[in-house]
Amino acid sequence: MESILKFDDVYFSYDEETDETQGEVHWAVSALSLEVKRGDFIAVLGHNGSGKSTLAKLSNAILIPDKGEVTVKGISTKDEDRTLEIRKHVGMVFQNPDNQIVATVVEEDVAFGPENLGLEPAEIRERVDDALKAVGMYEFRENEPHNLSGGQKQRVAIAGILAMRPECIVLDESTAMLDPKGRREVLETVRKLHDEFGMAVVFITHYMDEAAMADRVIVMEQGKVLFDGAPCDVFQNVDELRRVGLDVPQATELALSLGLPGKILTLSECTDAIVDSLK
Amino acid sequence: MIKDITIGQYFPGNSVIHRMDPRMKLVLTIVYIVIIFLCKNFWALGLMLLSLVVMCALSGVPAKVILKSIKPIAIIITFTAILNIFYVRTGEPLLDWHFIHITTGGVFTAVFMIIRICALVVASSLLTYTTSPTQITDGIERLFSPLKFMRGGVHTLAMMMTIALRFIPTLIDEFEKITNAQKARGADLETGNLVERAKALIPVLVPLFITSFRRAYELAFAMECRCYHGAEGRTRMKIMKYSKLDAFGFLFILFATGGVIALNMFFRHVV
Repeated sequence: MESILKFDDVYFSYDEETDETQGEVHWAVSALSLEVKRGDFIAVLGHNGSGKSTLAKLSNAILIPDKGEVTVKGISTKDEDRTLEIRKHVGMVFQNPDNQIVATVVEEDVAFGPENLGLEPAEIRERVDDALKAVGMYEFRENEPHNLSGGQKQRVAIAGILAMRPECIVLDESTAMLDPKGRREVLETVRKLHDEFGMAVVFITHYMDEAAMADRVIVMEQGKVLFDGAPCDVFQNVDELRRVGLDVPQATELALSLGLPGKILTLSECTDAIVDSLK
Repeated sequence: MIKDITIGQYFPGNSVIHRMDPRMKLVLTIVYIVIIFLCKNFWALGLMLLSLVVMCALSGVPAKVILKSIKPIAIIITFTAILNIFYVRTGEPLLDWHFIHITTGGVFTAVFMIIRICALVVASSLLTYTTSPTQITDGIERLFSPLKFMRGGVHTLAMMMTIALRFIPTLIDEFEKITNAQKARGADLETGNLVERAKALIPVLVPLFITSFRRAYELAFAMECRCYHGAEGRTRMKIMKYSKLDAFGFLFILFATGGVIALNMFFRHVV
């Protein structure tokens, strides 16, 4: 599979570069190597300050690594002349939906990205309609964003990124400020984008249940990758995850404490396993 | 209470006035206001009022809503009228009592000023009632876009206006949230004299400012992520096109202008 986003032994620090007298540098991200291929669905887990948001910002040239290199489809993020091209390929959705909507009408906000790319009006119209339909917000295209619910706003923000037709979408804790209903809406939308349009997704979260639906989970701790693998494998390490301040999905925890065989992630898997063991 | 304050109150609709190009509406409103001040007698002024009534009727905005727009400036109108009555000393004297001198010229000027200010306010309200804030900012941006040397400036200004309009409701919500949070901690915002109440607002305004800065910072990131890089190479989804309606609007104001010039010439100047 074609590689879209690649981190190659990346180091990044928020400290001032001149602060060498302070001794050791505090790396927000260190020795990070990671590859996102077309059609990947990756969840990144970690508690606050583990470097997961830094990872997001490094991926589309908002932050430039101090050491190592981040490449998007072969373009290094250090190449300032091609920053726009990078951001066209890797779209980013942030935490607070209010702070990423620019226009006073939904469809005009979605058009913001394509307009910046300098596309023809007819092409923009088509992309806006497609993007709004993909996130299920087409009927709301003429609404004012402040009248929408949190989940709806976040879907508009996702549509705004989709309209630029990126190949990878990075969601930086995009569900953190939403109520359960809004979270479900956003999750379903993201899942659909991945399944139907083959978009690569990097989903940064601190909800274990959300991470469980990814194809691959990366757990970060103090700027380093602690675990990297399929969710069912990663969540076997209950004690280690607890130590870094994370939980495992409740179903997995229950199954493990009951000593059930197999790697269990979801509620239905757990009930099936319990029923089997009782037979 | 703060939610009642609406800037650029838009009255959604699909009337001929609503469907006109915002650029044309902007220009015609300015032309109309200029002509209002060029009227020299009641006939000319009457013609302008008549055309305003026609435009209001065409817009489909309820008369009550339109008249409401005059209410906030009632005090200004009264003051202007009173000052004009007492200070303009042309024409026949009507009243001469101690230091008070009222003349026909003064009364006419006062009446003229009242009508002019009302017409001005109604005309500009009609613009904001029938044109959404976004359309107005877009209209301004595109009207000035032929001036290449200031295009970047105009675009930046229009973008700032759009973002400001976008964030008004968000900040109002935020203001109410903070107010409630401070009230829950025992802040007293409603009693005391004006100075005390203004001082009590400080614990509300400081957090509001800080969160606004944080919002601005995040919004800038989000805009950069969506490839925003100023006016250069930027296109728009909605193209503005002049239609037949705009031609009619233009002719309407043109005839009104012609009418005013003619009436000014044929009838005696009052002011």
